[in-house]
Formats: sequence, C-alpha cells, structure tokens
Amino acid sequence: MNAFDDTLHRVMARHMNRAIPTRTSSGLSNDPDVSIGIATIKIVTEDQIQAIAFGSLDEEPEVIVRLAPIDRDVTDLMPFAAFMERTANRALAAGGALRIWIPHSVTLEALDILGHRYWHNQTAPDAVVRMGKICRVVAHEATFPGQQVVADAAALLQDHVVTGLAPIEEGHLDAMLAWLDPAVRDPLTEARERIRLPASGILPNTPDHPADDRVDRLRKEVKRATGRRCAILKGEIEDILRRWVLREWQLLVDARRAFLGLGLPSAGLEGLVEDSTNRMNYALANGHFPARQPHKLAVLLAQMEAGLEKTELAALEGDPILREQAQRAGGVVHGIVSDVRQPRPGRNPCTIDVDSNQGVIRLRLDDKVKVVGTSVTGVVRGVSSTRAGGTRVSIQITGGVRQTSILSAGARLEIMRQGYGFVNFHAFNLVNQRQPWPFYGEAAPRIAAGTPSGRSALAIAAEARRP
Amino acid sequence: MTVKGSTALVRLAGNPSCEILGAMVMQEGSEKRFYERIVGEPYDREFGERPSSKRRGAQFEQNVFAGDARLLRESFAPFLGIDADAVIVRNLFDDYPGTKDDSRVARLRITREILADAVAGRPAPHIIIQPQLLIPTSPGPRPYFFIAPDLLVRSPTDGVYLPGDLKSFIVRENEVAKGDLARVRLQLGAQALALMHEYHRIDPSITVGSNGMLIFSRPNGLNPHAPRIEDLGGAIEAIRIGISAFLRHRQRINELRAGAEPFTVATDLSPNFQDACLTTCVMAQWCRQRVAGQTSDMGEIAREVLGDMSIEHVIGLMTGTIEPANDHERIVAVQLRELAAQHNTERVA
Repeated sequence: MNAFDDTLHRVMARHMNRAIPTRTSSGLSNDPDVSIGIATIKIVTEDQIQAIAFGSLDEEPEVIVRLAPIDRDVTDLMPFAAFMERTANRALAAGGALRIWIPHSVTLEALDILGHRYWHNQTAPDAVVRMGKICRVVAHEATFPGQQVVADAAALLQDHVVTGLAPIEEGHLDAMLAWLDPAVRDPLTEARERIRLPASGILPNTPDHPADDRVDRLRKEVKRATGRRCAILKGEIEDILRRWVLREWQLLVDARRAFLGLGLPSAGLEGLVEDSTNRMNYALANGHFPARQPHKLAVLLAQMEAGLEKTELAALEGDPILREQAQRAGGVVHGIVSDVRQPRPGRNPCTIDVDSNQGVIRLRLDDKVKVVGTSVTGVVRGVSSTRAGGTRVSIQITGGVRQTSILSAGARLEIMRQGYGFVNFHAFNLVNQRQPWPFYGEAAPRIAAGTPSGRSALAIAAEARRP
Repeated sequence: MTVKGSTALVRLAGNPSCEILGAMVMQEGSEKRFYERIVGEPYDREFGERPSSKRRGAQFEQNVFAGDARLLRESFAPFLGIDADAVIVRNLFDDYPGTKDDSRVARLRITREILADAVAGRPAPHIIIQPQLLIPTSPGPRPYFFIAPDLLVRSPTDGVYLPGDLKSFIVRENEVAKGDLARVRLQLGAQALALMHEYHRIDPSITVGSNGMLIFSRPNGLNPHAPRIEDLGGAIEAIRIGISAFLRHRQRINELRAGAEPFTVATDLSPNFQDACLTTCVMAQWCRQRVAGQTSDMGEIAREVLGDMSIEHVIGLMTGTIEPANDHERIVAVQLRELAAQHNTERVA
C-alpha cells in the first residue's frame, strides 16, 4: 500500500475507532495439522532465553522458566528440545507441513540465536543440539518472502489492517490489539497506555513493574542464599518469569484469534505452501546448510526473489483492494476486449486487443501476463494509443484459448503480470562446475581487443527478439 | 538514552530541528530529571540502560581486552597485516581508569602524545584502547563534548588512526540490522570527527579518512566477530549538522533564559516531534501533546501526505461538513468517501 492510501486508512481508523482491513484476502494459508505456538522472554542484550511458553494454541502452554539462563547447563531446556523434536517428526510425517505461531519477530530472533548457540555445541545433550538445528531451520525458512511456516502475529496484523496509531506504534502487538477489540471504546488512549509495557519478549522495567531489575537482583541473592530462603527467592523468580511469558503467550493467542477473526480467505497460496513444505521437509530430514559458496548464495537470492514475486502476485490475484491500488500505479490493467483475432475459434493462434482508459500502464512488450480469475495467459505483443486517447494492449494468448467468454469482444478484463518465480538450478550447477570469474574470480579476465562489427547494439538486440 | 558525549551528538544529528533536545543537552543532570522538572511529575516509563546490557557490555570489553587484548590483536592482525603476537597495544585504562573528568583529561593528554608520536614517525602502538578525544563547542555553556571511542587502530596504509567501537549486542554472521547499524555509524562518525580535530591540532594538512571499525559480538560467549570497516562519510556530515544545530539552539536558549537553567524556557522552545522520538526521548509524550489531533499524531508520513492540518479537518472533508479548499483536499475528500463506502459496514475489523 502506498503512503497516501495508508494515511487515509489511518484517518478512517481514527474516525471509526477500529482497525481497518487493508486487504480482502489473507497472506497466510490455513493452519496445517501440525501447528504450534512459541513465546519467549529473553535477557536484554544477552539474548539468552529465560522463559519459554510453547504448545498447541488451543491448550494451556507448557512453560519453562530458567533460573540461571547464562549457565552452561542447558538441561532445563530439555522439555522444549523434546517438544521441538516431536513437532519436527510430526511435520516430517505430514510431508513438511508445519505452522509455528510467534507473537512477533523478537521471538524468531531469540529462537535463531538459540539455534546458533547449540546446533554445533558438542558439550550440549544431543536433544538440545537437535533443537538448535530445528530452530535454525525454522529461522532460515522465515527469511523467504511468502513462506508459510512461521506466522508472526504482529507482522500479519500489520500487513492486513491499519489502525489510527503512528506506524511505529503498530510494532507494539498489545497496542494493535486494542484496535481489534470491540470492547475497547477508546482504542487510541488504550493503545498508548498499553505501550508503556513492552510487548517484545522482554521483562518490563517501568517504575510500577520493575520486573527486570527485580529478577536481576534476585539472581544475585540466590547465589548467596541457602535452604528455605534460597527456595523462596527462586520461587519469586519463577513467578515473575511465568507471569510475563504467559502474557506474551496470551498476546499471541489474542493476536491469532484477531487475525483469524478478520475472516480473510486464503486462496491462491498453494504455490507458496508447496515451496515452504518442500524446503521444510528437506531441511528437517537432512539438516540446515547455510549457503556460503557464491553459486549457493545466488540460488538463495533467486529463491527469495521468486518467493517475493509469487507472494505479490498471489496477493494481487486474490485481493480486489490490492488490485485497485495496483491499478492506480499501472501494475494491473483494467480494460475491455476490443478485438479478437482467432482464425479457428477455441484454437491457437489467438491475439486480443484490450483497450483501457487507465492513466498509467506499466505493461511492456514481451511481459508475460494473465487475466485475473481465469486460466488465460499471454504475452504482451504491442502497446499503442487508441483514437479516444486510451491505451491499447495487444496480447498473444498462450494459454486458455478455449475460454471464449473471456476472449470475446466487449469482455471486461483485469490483466496482471504472470508469475515467473523460476530458479535456474541447472545454470547454477554449471556455475559450480565451471567456476566462472563473475562468481569465483577476484578480477575480470583480460580480453584481447577485437574489431568492432560496426553494427548498432540496438539492431543486434532487435534481431535477437522473437517475431 | 543519555544526552552526554557522543550520544548527545548522535541524537542531535537525528533531530537537528528540535530545540527541546538542545536544552536537554545543555541542562546539567539526567534526561529524566529534565522531564520531571518540566512536567512536574515522575517519569512513569522505562528509563536507562538495563543491568543486563551494562553487564554484558562490561564483560565483552573485559574479555576482548584481557591478556593484553589477545582477542583484539587476533581480530585486527589481518587488517594490520602482521602477526597477532607482533601487534602492540596500549590500554589507557591501565594508566588512568574511570570515567571522571580528571581521568578523561589524563587519557586525553596521553592520546594526544601518542598521536603526535605517530605523526612524527616515532614508535606508536598499533591499537590504543580507551583513548579519549573531544569535540570543542566553545565558547558558551557545554564548551566541549568528550568523545571516547573504545579503541583507535593505526591504518597500515597511511599510519593514521581509525576509530573503532565494540558492540556487545549479539550479531549473527556479522550481519547487522539496518537500524542498529545507522545508530552505531553515527557514533563512529562523532569519533571520526573528534579524531580529525585532534589530528588537525597537530597538523591541519593531515588527511583523516572517513572510515571506522565496528566489532560486534558472536552469539557464542563473548567472542568478537571480525572487524567491519564502515564508510562514515554520511555519518560525519550528519554529526556536523547536529553540532551546528546545537550551537544554534544554545544561542537561542541563552537569549531566552537570561542566566536561568535551560529547562525553565522549555515551553518557549520549538520541539520537532518525530516518530523516532517515541523510542529515544523521555520528552516524546510531552512534545506529542503539542501535535495532538494533528496529522503528525499519526506519524511523519501522515503529515507529509496530508500536510499540517487537524484530523478533525480531514474527517470534515470526508463527511462533507468542510468544503475542500484546494485540489489536494478535494482528492483527499473523494478518496476518503470511497474508503468509507467500502468499510462502513461489515468489513470493519
């Protein structure tokens, strides 16, 4: 959404005292059978997890509170490690389909650092090492645009609704939720009051809730205390950590409920689900191998680009509001079929002209396009002006030539770019074999000067174009 | 966040138009105290660095500087192009520890001696730990800012020192979040500027590069990543702008206060409330009250898009109770009515 639309939605949200949806479709597929939630409390800067709540989102979570999170002894993490192992096995049995709900990105970061710390730690128990690997797999999957495994509740809400807050305030999940709760009469005041306490996976440390200072002091006292006093001090640490990690969990549960309560259909995400499932299936079975070599990094970037494109196009195709916004920017073309050139009805070849009065049209020659809501695909072969001052887009139809109701004069169409989303593994394998200098060399090779052909580069390019 | 030393300059660089920030920098005492004296109530939000952050920062430095800075020598050996055992380190905290002004002045004197030695071609250490620099802003209250890089590293190419800073927060794969990097680059920018000042005291013709080094912590234990060389061209310019802004604010505040403390004239000063204030400044809520009901209250982008008008006015355009005064308002009114038509009924979340 552009800044103008975003701002108008904010004004509307202020006016209506409610969050305003900015989409009519969901960017997240339905939860698969293996769906879990994780919420954490970490130590600021140390980034050591001191409390975790985890489990099924429809039940009370299991909670681990860590009295000495900086110690080398990690046996207190064993229940979480076992849970992650069970979850991974269930996901593998389901072909890699997994959903992990987290309240916000800080939780993902905490899991990633946990993974970094233990996935190769030779002194940690095997189960904790396996947990580290799973955490790294999950965190890596979350880097792919459009991935369907990690559901970051705060990010999902920000992607699908706008409130009357400033954008920077919407990073606070509890503040966002004030705008999604019908029981809150004045969400602006309520949200800004909620912002006093952090919703970022850390203990609060305000004058009225000095939990972080208190736990820090208690940990020091525990080291000196013995017997009953030591037990009391430990009990207090546990109570504080339990209380605040359960608050994080509750935020997660509320945010998920609020998101699902928007009732947005999640159509058109099958390709993204399949990509995620395949990646998870492979990684959970074989492990995580960070890309280091140039050709591997290129593959990773290509996968991310493909994911981004697929995500954008899936959202556009499934969401009239987004298409309307894209139409104003020229990314989607709304027009009427003015001519159909199809010698044999229902057969190739077929070319159509679509006339549009849009002020901005971003389609260019050779763009692969599709007609929204149909299986009709094609390639842009011409863009010209009409007598009435509009734009005519000529499209060679490459798929769906039998859809005569669409491919007939007078039909109203919405045309958008077709997803490319292709990673050329074959080419990158060749790169690995041949190790060419753009990937592996330090400097460009010297090429002997040749005699210029005297032909214009544009002429050479024009010759290379397909008719 | 504090308003002392390089942090003050970093904050001024981020919001050079804010006179309230200028007054905070001039005011003796903490930022929290400044708030309480103006508002008349205790500050009810989190304030200050958390104990865990302080502890980790101290432990990281201690670990990196231990054993004649063994880890640091190993980290910088490839950059210096010599064996780690051949790297000469001088820790000025060994001579004058502490953060009191006397110690700082003593370390500043030693730092100046070392820089002069290096310029004169006399032996000088490859790495200076806990050097002390300053940026002068005299004459006037706050005549200088003490700038304390964690270290200075001598470039093997031209023999000029570069500032370096240790950051104890955990970074994976030495890839730093954009927001964190912007902040620490500004910090390094202030250090580079202070270093330029010190070099130019010795010889104005010395060229000091606009580079600095950052050393982040690995996820495991307290080990440092390889140093990152940062280009500080933009950061140095931003700090220069921040210093100019401070000098401008100081002059205005001095004219207004007539010898009284800076906080006494706060209501006469112009704040420049921006989104980032909410995460960096104790005065953010107080400043925001001045834009309550305005488009700025919904963020900087809203102010840019709609202009400086009240939210009531915008809603009036939508409902038709206010006639659009120009084409911009007309477009806003039309678009808002379309939006209202879409959302008035069941689609409201």
